[in-house]
Amino acid sequence: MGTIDFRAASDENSIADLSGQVHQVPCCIRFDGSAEVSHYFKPKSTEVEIDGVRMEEAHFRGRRLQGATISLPSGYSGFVLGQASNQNANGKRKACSSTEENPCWEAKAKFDKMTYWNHDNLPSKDDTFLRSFHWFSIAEALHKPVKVEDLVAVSHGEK
Amino acid sequence: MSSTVWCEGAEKTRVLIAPDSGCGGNKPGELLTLRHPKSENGTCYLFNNGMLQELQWFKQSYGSWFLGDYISQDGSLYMATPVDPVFILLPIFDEARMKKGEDPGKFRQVDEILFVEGYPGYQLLLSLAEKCMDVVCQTQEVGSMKFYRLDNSKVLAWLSCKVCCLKKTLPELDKNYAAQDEKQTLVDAVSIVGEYVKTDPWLKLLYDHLGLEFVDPTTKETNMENLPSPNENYMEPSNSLQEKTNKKQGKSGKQTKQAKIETGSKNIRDMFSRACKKKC
Repeated sequence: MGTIDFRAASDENSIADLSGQVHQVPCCIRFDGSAEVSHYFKPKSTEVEIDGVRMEEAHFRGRRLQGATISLPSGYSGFVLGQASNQNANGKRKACSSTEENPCWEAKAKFDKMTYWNHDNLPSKDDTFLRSFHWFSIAEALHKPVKVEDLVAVSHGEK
Repeated sequence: MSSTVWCEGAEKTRVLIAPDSGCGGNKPGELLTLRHPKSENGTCYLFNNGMLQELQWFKQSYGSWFLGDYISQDGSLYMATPVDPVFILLPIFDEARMKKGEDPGKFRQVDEILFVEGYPGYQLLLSLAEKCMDVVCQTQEVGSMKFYRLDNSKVLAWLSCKVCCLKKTLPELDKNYAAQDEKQTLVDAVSIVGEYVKTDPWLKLLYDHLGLEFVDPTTKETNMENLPSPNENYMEPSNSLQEKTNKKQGKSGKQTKQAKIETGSKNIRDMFSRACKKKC
């Protein structure tokens, strides 16, 4: 029912590295496509640190944003997936993406940290965005395979 | 490679955090539809480089991405994390043994067990199932053939292991978790495991085994019903999920935590294909 192709990401040189340029902004921008983001959006680090979270500052459309950068958990990378357009250079539909039921996604860029921006409040450990990263620790504890030895240990330890 | 050309030819983009080890495969990762082990609804999983992963979807009410010199309107963050295949295969092995009352049921071969009507994706999990299901099954070997039958007491011990691991991890997450007492941590751990197994019999057996009072799970299941169903428009339910989270956040520490679990652990059904459809 579809694929996600990560293979390009195994070669450092064949894929763009967007580390430091991935920003979650606190508003909906009704546009998809290229824009001169780096020309107008210039984050600065500050001396302010709250609860271990280092605050950064930037402005967007005259509004002050306060943000924080999160490193991705070890063993994980960030990927920007792109869905190939339905038409190739000759204007023919490609077989792969011709059906909506079988989307073909491909890793187009990679990153190892991302910055999220708040509008009204200082970044803190209570921010939902930061807390969503708890999932990686929970998933590790919940889904790491159980060995037969662990089973024996648990059932004996309890009785 | 310059950061502006990466987006050429891409009509839409998604931001995904996934294990590095997924890059080493020799073919693309496959999106499979399998039955969710709790709800039984068709759910999208990623099978990549021999590893089964589940996909989570996180979206704030308002948000977009700046990705280098590119803007993506959809501010969703997707997370792919490895899932223990035993959770996913448990209901399939449970049905396959055809247990009736006190009769422990039948031994079956894995390829036979994984033939699930309407879900061809299970057949890709053959070698994974052979590797991982020993831990919860009794097995019999006849010549070169191996037969499996799910064993309730093994499942219970396996579930206890899961609870035990989570109980160790939860207090390390942040100070709200660290501050709560051990009993509450245990209840939380069981409720997280409970999102992956059926209430009857597994969750009830687990409560009983741990000496906990069985809490009627209907409250939790009501919450689940509020989540985006596969047929609904994608944008609307995501907002409602977020509002719910925000409301809870304002209350006590315990509720803060539950809200977090909700944003973190809900499975998003068919998200890649659905989200695409809506846009097309």
